[in-house]
Amino acid sequence: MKSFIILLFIIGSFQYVFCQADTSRYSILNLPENLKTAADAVFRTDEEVIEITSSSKYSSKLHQVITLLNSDAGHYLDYNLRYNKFEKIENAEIKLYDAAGKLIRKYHKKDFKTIDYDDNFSLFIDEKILHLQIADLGYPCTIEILAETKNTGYVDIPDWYISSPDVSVENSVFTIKVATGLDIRHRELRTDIKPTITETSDYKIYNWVAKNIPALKMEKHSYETGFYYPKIEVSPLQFEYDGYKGNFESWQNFGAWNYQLYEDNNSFTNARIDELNALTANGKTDKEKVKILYMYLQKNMRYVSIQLGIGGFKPFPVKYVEEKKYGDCKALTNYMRYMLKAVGIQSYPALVNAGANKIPADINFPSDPFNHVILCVPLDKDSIWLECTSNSNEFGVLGAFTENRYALLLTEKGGILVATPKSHSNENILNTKTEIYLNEEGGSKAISSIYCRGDFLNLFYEIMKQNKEEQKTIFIKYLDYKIPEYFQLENSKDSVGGKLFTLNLSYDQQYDFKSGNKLFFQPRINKLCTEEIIPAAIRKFDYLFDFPYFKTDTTIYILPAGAYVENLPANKIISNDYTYYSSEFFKNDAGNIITAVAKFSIKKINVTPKSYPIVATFFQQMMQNENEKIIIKKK
Amino acid sequence: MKHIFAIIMLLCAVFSLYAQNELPVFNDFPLAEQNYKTSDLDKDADAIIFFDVASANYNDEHNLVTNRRVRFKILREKGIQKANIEIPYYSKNNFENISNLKAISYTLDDNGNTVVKEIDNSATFKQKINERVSVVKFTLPNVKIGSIIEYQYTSTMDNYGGLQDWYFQTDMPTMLSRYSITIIPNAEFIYFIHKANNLPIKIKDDKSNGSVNFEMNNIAGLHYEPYAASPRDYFQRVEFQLSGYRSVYGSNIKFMNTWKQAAEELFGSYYYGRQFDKSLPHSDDIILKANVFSTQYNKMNFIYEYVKNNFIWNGINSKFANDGIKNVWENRRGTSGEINIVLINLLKSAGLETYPLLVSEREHGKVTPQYPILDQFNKVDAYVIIDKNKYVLDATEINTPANIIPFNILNTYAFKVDTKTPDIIQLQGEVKTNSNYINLYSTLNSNAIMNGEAVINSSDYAKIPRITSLKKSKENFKNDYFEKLYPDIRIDSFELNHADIDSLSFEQSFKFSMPVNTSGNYKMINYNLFTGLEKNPFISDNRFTNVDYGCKYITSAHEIFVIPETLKPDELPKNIQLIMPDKSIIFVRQISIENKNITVDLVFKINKTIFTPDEYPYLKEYYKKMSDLLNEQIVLTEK
Repeated sequence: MKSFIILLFIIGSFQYVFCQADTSRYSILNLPENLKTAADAVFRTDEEVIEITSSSKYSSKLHQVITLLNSDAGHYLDYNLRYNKFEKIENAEIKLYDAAGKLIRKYHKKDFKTIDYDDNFSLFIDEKILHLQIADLGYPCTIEILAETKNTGYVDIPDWYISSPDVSVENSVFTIKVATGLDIRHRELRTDIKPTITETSDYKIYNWVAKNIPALKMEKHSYETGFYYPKIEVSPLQFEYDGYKGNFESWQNFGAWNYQLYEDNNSFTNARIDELNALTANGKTDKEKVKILYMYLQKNMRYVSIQLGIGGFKPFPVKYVEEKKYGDCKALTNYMRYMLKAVGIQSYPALVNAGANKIPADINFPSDPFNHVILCVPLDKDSIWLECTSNSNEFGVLGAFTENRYALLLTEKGGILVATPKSHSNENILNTKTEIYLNEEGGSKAISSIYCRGDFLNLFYEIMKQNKEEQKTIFIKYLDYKIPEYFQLENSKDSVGGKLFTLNLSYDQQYDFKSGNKLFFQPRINKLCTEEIIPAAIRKFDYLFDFPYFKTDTTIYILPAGAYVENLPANKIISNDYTYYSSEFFKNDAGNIITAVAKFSIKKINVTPKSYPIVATFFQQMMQNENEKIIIKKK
Repeated sequence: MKHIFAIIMLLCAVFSLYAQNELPVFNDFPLAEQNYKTSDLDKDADAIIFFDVASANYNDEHNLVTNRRVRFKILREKGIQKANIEIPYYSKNNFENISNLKAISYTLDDNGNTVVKEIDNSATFKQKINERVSVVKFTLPNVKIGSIIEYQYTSTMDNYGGLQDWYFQTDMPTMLSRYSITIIPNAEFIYFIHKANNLPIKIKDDKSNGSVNFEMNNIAGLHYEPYAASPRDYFQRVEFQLSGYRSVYGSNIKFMNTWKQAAEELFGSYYYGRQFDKSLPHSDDIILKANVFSTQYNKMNFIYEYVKNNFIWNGINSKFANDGIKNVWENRRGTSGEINIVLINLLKSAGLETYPLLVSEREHGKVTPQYPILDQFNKVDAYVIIDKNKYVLDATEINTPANIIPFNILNTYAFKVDTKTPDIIQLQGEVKTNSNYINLYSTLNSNAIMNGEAVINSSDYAKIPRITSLKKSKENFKNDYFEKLYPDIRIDSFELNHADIDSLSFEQSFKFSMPVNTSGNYKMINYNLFTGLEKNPFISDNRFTNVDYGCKYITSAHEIFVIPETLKPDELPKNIQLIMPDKSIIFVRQISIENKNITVDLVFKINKTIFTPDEYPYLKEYYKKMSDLLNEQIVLTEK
């Protein structure tokens, strides 16, 4: 019966295709086979013309024809155009064609709905979205987009992404017309194409053309898309945003433009300056003073994101933070900077592209890739870097979010691109030491002391905020503890460079399983490794671990009377440039105490595709070894 | 005795917070609040609501005007985020307006001085969420642990049609929650209270001004629990519905006091009754094709498949097509209500006995059949009767065949909307099961590698989620169900059959190879393969809501492991039956050896779909024991 239905449909649609095929440009019959491979959508045409008429004005005309091959491309039917005070949408038009390329529907700007943009993160952003839900005809189908926008203030102009994951491109044309007297800088990444440049009396015209780019799949755990796909980066030499003029001729100049926005002539009253000096009076060194003020910031201020107009670049006044006790990254960073200034310590805001897999700023190409700001305090010996939006970061520790990349220091002499510190595996430490007192039935009482610092401390800071039931769930689901009968996590104590937690557990059945009079135990109470790395995979892109770290686990089994060890897993060491693992077992002379010691480290976080098989094999071997059991027999 | 003591303690707590039970005025914070440290209701609470009070009344224009005041205290760090407040309102056609917003924070500074701060109007934002709903968003200044926050506002709605449920309970413990409503003249409302038996409610009916007062005290906060149906089922609340009005001529018109009245009212309303019979442009073609089929069932199935395949659900649930169905018909995309009304329309056009069926998904909440309140439902499905067989169709459940009741509405009540024979129908989860049959044959070689073949047959409710995963991609499905749980497995010859034949079970077959674990001289075979029973879902010690499985489950495995000549079992895991006292769950394991072949037979059955919180400790213990059993390995040793 089913096949009959399908047949009916096929006959219907075939007739259709035959009637329309010759007349239509957008029929799927005209689609080259190689562009369909691995693609969810094909950009038949992707064309943008940007016309820069002054340092504060440009307009853009976008023309796209996209054939959607399957429902994974369905999100293109959910069409959004963002706009704000400085970027207005002049026109938007969308046409919808069926598989044969026959025009089915036409939408005009009045058919779009306006909604407020929400990044699910900020309290408020003053941006809006023009939204259109395009009719769903089934696949394949083709949409044609015409959009015109006008900017009356800008900093950077958008880069041109020639292709992106899961789409192929038939024709890509990018044109920038820039009025005489102004100019842009550009570079082409991961492509050989070069622009043709022509000049008229009014304009200099750059034109890039790319054709027939097949689809390429993205891989998990690598840098973001822009790092691997062909694109054209452009940035204006001159720009003006909300009346603030600047240029991208150098990082120094772009830094200078930002620096003026961070200047606040009306920061603290004299009385408040006295208070801050009194607060830091006990600090013997500048470093100690910085620490006192950072702790003050962490204790009293909280992070709330509000982005309004130039406020995307300019922090709220210091007085605002003082009054409200909250601010976004810019406001809190600048507040910290002025507190330091009040006690005579110089510091600089540093713009950074934050996030574990973000593309860092490039020393050779001044532009605006930034999404975050942190504070750098240059001291005699070393610089201190501060994340001012966190109530929990250790003093002077940035963490995976912003470490190990270029940041733009904003100084009175302009911008300076400097590298943020790179954390070493011995700065992100998780040490567990567990004593397991077994009883004769194979149950246990266990006490574990957990030491952590660096990025692990952030995890534990989050855990400590939860209630007991949630804490237990995190230990079981994310740290792979066996489900205990009793669970109690004690508050932290400071310990050298980090924090120490105590965990009390009890189990009715500590062993994994038994066979006859033999009990089989896991070497550890929790999983040493929580990385998910698939051995079989071959990669095209880098594999990134979040941060380098070092874990050690010492587990001590204290056996009840009458029990003895039949088997201890063999000792093992595996190591390569990226990772290290060792596992050792000891037995005391009386034979009733077993000590299992394991070490596991991610030494380097960026694994190249070539090295990936070595690392994957490492994890496979490590897992097999960790699965070996301790076997205990009863007499 | 213990209970009485607890109640007395709690009562004292209330009365001592506010003398004479009078609420303090705005910006007056009594000592009891200032000194409040932890909630007796929940030691771990992030914040506590001291009071949440609202009174609703009408004005000269007969608008519904509600004044609300909320005061809470932040007790732990996680509670600080509660200072970011959102007030949702129905903004379409300016139906609702929020005004007179005032909010303050009360905090002690480091020197113990009181600091009271107001919100800044420049930091109060209105944001449109979608076509219907907007929110007023703001955050309080100067907030830390120990801060008390108070806000108040007025909501003005066009008319009493906007009246909503009042929730006495939220995710924070609440000491006092009070709602008073004055009924508009010439109208009648009915209300229903959903509350736990052990929690008292005070209801004061004031005939003089037509107001009703509801108050509850000391209600613990309720958090999300896995496998629970809906918070609506558990939150203490009062629900309202307009039940009648007096016409201008003075006659008393009643409606929605019975399900029949509700059905009549629905059919009379603009956007319901008419949608079903209005003929859709160019639909003749489909009806014509449907009528080619000789049986009624096939005809129904054709239309159901047609709507499933040609209409895309936009993710929004509704029980109406507020803007008509013409748009949906053209755009092929709409809310669940719009798409299913198209479905009902086509089924009726094809001459099938079809009714709209109002349903409430388990996530939305339980329906009380005694209350003819339409807000209890969140979706409309098609209800088709063919020769006494009844079918419930939801065209947004694209992987559910016509002969299976959609999983999300199992174990619920539904309302057959028909003016002649309106009916409340119980949708039973006991007919079809979630069944998986696993057949496995594997050989252990001398290098401690197990090579095998597996055939898995999944049917009915087990098939649907697998097909859903498969529709993303074959790779995705393979990873979701087989690779993710066994990191060192290698799978090839992965073949799938009958994915799109509704009447047959979904057959998944593949070859696999995986190392077996070794410890000393022992090799260990894990026989708990591909059963879906790898993880114990019940971690919590306590449970406050029902565990609702939706349907019955059966998982059965027949496995043969061929072992090398040189090895023999150390001792086989025991043959065992684990059975709940009421036989609601059964687990059977049988293991035997003949020559080199070890045979394992497993059966796991859940015969009952709902377990109450009282039964939870048994359920938890059962799963713990079963996990331990499934964790046992077949230990092999040298001969």
